[in-house]
Amino acid sequence: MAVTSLVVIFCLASWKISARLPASNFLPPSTQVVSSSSMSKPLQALSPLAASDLRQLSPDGSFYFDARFVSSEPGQAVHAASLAELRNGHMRAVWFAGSREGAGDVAIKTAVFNPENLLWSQETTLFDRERLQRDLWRYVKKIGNPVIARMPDDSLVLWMVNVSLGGWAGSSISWARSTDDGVTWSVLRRLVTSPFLNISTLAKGAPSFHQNGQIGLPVYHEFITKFAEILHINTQGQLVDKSRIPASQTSLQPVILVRDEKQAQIYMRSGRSTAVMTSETTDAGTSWSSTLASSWPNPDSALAGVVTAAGEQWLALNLDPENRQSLALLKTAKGGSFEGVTPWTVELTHDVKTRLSVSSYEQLLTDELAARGASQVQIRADVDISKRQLCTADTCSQEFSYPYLLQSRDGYLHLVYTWHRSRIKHVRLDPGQMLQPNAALPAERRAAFAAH
Amino acid sequence: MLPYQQNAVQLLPLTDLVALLGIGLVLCATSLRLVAGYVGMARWTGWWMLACLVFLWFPVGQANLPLLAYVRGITSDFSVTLVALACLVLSQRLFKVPPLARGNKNALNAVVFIAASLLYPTALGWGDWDAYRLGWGSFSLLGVLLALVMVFLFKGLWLVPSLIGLALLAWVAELMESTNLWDYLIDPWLAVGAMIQCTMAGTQALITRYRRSPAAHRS
Repeated sequence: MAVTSLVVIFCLASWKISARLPASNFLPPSTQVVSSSSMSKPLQALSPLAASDLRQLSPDGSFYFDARFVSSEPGQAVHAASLAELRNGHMRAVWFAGSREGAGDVAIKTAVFNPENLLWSQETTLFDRERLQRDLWRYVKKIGNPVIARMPDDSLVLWMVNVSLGGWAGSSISWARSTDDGVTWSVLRRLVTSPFLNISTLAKGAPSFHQNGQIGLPVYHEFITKFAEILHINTQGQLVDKSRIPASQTSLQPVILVRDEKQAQIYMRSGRSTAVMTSETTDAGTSWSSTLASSWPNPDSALAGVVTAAGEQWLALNLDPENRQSLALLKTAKGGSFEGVTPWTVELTHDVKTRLSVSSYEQLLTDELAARGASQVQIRADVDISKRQLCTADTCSQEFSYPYLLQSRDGYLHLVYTWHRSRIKHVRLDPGQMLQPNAALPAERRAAFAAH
Repeated sequence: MLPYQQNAVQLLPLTDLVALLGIGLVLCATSLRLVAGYVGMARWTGWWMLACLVFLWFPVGQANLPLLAYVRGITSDFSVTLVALACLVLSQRLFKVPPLARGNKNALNAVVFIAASLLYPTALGWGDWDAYRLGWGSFSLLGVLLALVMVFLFKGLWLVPSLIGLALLAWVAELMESTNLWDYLIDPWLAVGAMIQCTMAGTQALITRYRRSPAAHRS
């Protein structure tokens, strides 16, 4: 009887294994952008910016963009924004905010961007610690990195990092789904990604999509050693497999750029290394090449990437090898390489090699916040929270970090990133514009960038 | 705070119930073993156990979570194997089920020790190969389990085959939050226990061998 039961159980397990979906090719990037049948606008030719007076020249004078703040609650430590386009062409951003990174009051915030009037809505709380605890039926100590993405079935999925014990190395990933563009969300569920107490898996990058409906969520591991992985998630949101990026020890926060059905590149934040780390696949992610250092520097900071409908690849990253005081974009044509391309500088307010005095830093922040419509009370609160995180007694370091890139169906490229740890900033640009010669960039800085 | 979505896709909350019950049973079995060790088994021990189980479901904190949920935040979910062993301990203590033969325990400890030595280092980043990946549906892992079952059945040791069968059945039925077979088979707490038991058994064997050796008699 017992032996018969065991035979039946093994037969059931065999049936379950044989029912697994075979690996499939990537969904090409152009298909992903227009995959949603319920999107209100077709992909259209770029029109001039709706409010041309908001258009500004980049710090090096080489291209135009318009910019604004996403987060609206002053005095909050904010970080790790990501974006998804809604069915009506609006954009939903999510990020985490609280009194400080890792505090118990940190919550996942959201706001919606209206491309008609170029305004972000007031921010609201999407998930807080109590909601996570109730949904997951376990103690949760803190919340981190949210990543939002539109799925092939047209729903939105939000993955977020949460910790029950210890620091970020104790992280797990939880997720929720929304079928009404983020107005309401399902109960959160937990992904089990590691056999060791399910700790130390964090998400930051956007997922890639496969033709069988599965997605590849790029994640990274931090406990004992660092390495990058791709989680294979089925249409029900369940983890069905994962693949490790070979020799990615010391690398984290992978970003996938899909070139075609078979080929994709991964770009990673350096851990102990000082360069952007890369790996590639030619079999739709079944196997990845050994990790190599690229020629682009990286100050151990997060990258973002996107492939446009035209197949151009973009990266957003900090280009100085030692700090996060500048932020730039790299662009390459379809099938091209980022080696030797000219950076599109988005943030560069002073010499990246020096720290500002506290008074100069206060003035710098005050000027930009005031120019973007913040009240004196809001400015005071934001400057205080930035100083608390980025200043010593005498000097301050600027920070433009944790970028996230997305192309909307109207063709614009959207970049959101952490601005001085006190605001999430949104930059929108026409990816088709030509990069002008660096009119405003000093000769020595041009030479430094040209060295790459 | 935004409202819950009524028609959203939701996984079975049964996985949470199973996980919390499992943690409760393991905690009760551990406490019963400790209590029995100090004061011996008494008539009130069963009632004390029941009270302990109820107490662990008592809601506390802002989120009104049972105490078990706080333990779960630290321990993560226990494997089917560990929960089954806890049930075995409880049934032995409370219902006088006869204890297992030493061979069964030794076989289980050895299998868990070897599996943990392979699984945890590779899963935590030692090299580029990850044994954990096999748990999402691999005929090679299933083949190894089948071989283990056959070997131990042939030797008349039924504990390992029974636990493998239970874990496989729970995995097929998706009773746990995890979709990975390894999480049904072993967990770090079981692995630590097996490693301690194996180390103790190994040390004991060495001491016994030394005492029986001619060198020990000469000294």
